[in-house]
Amino acid sequence: MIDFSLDLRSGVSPYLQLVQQVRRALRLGLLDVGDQLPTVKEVVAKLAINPNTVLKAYRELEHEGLVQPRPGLGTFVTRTLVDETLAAHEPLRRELRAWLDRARDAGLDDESIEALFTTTFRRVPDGVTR
Amino acid sequence: MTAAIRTERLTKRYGRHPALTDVTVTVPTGRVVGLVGPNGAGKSTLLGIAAGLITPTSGEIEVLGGRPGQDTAQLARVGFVAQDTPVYGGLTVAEHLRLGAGLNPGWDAELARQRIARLGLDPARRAAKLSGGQRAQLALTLAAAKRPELLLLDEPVAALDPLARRDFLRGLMEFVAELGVGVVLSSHVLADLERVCDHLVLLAESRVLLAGDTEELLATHYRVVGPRGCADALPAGVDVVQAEHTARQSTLVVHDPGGALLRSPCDAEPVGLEDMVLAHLTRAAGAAPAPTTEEPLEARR
Amino acid sequence: MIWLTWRLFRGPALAGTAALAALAAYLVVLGLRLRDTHAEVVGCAGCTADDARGAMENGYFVAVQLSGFALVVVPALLGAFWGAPLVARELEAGTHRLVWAQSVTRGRWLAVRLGVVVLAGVLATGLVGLLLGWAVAPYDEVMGGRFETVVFPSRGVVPLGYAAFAVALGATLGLLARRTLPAMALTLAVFLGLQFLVPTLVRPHLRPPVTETFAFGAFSVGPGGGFSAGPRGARVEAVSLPGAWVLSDGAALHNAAGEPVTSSEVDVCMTGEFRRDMECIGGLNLSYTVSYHPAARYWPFQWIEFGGYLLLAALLTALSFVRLRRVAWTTLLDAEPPGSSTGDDPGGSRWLDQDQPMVLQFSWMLPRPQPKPSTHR
Repeated sequence: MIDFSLDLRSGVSPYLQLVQQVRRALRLGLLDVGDQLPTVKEVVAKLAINPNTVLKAYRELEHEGLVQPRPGLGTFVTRTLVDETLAAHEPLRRELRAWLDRARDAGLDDESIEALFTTTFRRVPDGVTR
Repeated sequence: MTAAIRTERLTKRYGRHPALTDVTVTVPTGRVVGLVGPNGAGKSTLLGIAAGLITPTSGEIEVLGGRPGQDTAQLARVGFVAQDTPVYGGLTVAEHLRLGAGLNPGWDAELARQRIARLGLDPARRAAKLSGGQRAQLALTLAAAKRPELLLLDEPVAALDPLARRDFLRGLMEFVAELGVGVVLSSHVLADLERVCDHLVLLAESRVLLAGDTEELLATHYRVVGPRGCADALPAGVDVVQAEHTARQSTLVVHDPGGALLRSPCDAEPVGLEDMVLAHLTRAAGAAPAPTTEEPLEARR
Repeated sequence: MIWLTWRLFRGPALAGTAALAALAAYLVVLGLRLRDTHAEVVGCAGCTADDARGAMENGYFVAVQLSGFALVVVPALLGAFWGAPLVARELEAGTHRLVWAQSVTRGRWLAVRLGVVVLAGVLATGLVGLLLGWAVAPYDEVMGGRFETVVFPSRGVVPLGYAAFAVALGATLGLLARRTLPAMALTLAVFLGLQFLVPTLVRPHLRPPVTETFAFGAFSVGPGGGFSAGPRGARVEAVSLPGAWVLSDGAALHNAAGEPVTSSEVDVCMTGEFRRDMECIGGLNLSYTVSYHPAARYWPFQWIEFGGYLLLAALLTALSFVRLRRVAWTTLLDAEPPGSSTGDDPGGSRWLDQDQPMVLQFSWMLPRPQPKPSTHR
């Protein structure tokens, strides 16, 4: 069973943190297909957060096809991320390396690169295409 | 769907002192709503009116579609925990539950008993001997075990230490998960709000400054950092809530419900809940315009 | 609601009952002793009415007066200790914000609490009143004087009216003052003030007094009174009219023609022996005019005064229901200046001063949330 935690200073909204933690667990193999996620009540008891937040996170995961609620029983993992993300990692890494090379050639130092990346990353909310 | 609380130009004056002025706000059901504002903003008054304990001077208010406090049925739908969680010092915990059972038609004795047992409260203990946190939990149990549709809490954690505060919020959220009850929680401590509230109403100096879903508000507030001229270059529809300028740079907190900022050249980043709230409260308090500071290094060169 | 009312009332009820039990014990002892004396001096061979009066008066005058006084004070104390804290205590402790947030309306809350306490007050006073009536019956039988200042309010039905009024007064003052001690003090003051004013200003005028002229005889001079003859004329002090309430302070004697009698005219009768002198003067065909309420008016007066106090109680109750709606949110907001902190200082002025000299025997029952420094449980 996954153990959730919350960092309110991270700038990431609580429900997104939960989603990310589940995804990370799936990626790392800590959660497998068929495992049950903690119930809403359990998460609320541990973290003292709004139950709607938990529901929203679980709905998001369901929307991504990662989990499936079974009425009366709980929410269960239906898919892991290990394979999927690994497959996407390599081409993305290559593109990133190429981009980094271009940025360095243009004269940007480390901090500028990081600032450019961070501001652009934040401006494009998850799932929105420009 | 009926709103949890709907007010229209609600006003309450104590003598000449205005506690609420022309408050028009709609609070949705099924949410945990944070009523935020500094001391004396009118939060207690608004909650007291919604609970039927105070009569307004003028304006209208509707709670779950009914008039607050008008009869037993309406009172049974709304639970209320007053500031500093009053309890009868001479009565034991068990007698308080008996009080609840006798005065509330919808009392869930099993829920109350389970909660008291889980909290580790001794039913034979007199309420005067409980700690502040335990008293708050008892008051919360009394309000929640009557299975209301709406829970109003007036700064229930203000006087509690951090651990007791966390325990109280945990207990409150467990009730929300179990009963599906809507909550309106007033606080002037911002730290707890983000984990608990999914809707915010900002009150300051008897007026409403801001109201909306927490997520939406956070998504439409930005901190804009840029060269001095950036403040003037902002597109229309962007409300500058707070601005600080140095000789070269401006730091603004802005509210951009229309998303116009994304297309401007200024650098915008998200702003945290605390800073967003503080920016609005500062503006409402009529703070002096942000001082301009000369950078000493510049002057020396 | 009934359970809660009793639970909160339990302390004062028990304390009051204990105090009244002590009074009751005293009355029982008094009653038994009075009956013993009565058996000795009344209806025995060779006992005269005067002897009986003398024995009763010498032995028991103070005790009976005090008992009557106590019965008038009982409603005052019940009003202060049972009535005043009823609402004031809730407002002071802030527990009205707990109880009115339950599913009971303010009106019903007040109705039940007030009803129970008024009933208790009337019952307690009634029982003690019955006991007093039983205890002093031998005394009253010999001494008469039903209309006297301490006797009238401590017999009959008026104590019940006092009780209902005093408790309603206490509760209403508690609601208006929102603080227990001032309400208690005010209740005592108003009640006792009325007990001084009503017998002097109201009671004599409940009906127009009867003015009648009597022929003077030996019977005319009442016990404890006298006959005086001086330059201003001859007067009867303390006219005797058994069972009636004599309003005049004495009456001047006048002759058949209506002229006041001078002392010289009666001097002939003054030999020094009281009884023979009075019989002698009786033969002079003199008369005197008295203003009084006949004995038959005793019970009507009782019921009128009882009804009057009951009416006052009802008016006060109505007033408290009206004002209940407008009870201020909390004494906190009234005490703090506008805009100041209401959430930061739990140990400060908002709590009852623990050193207040609250009636100690009640303090253990009084609802009082204790502000403890927040410690982890």
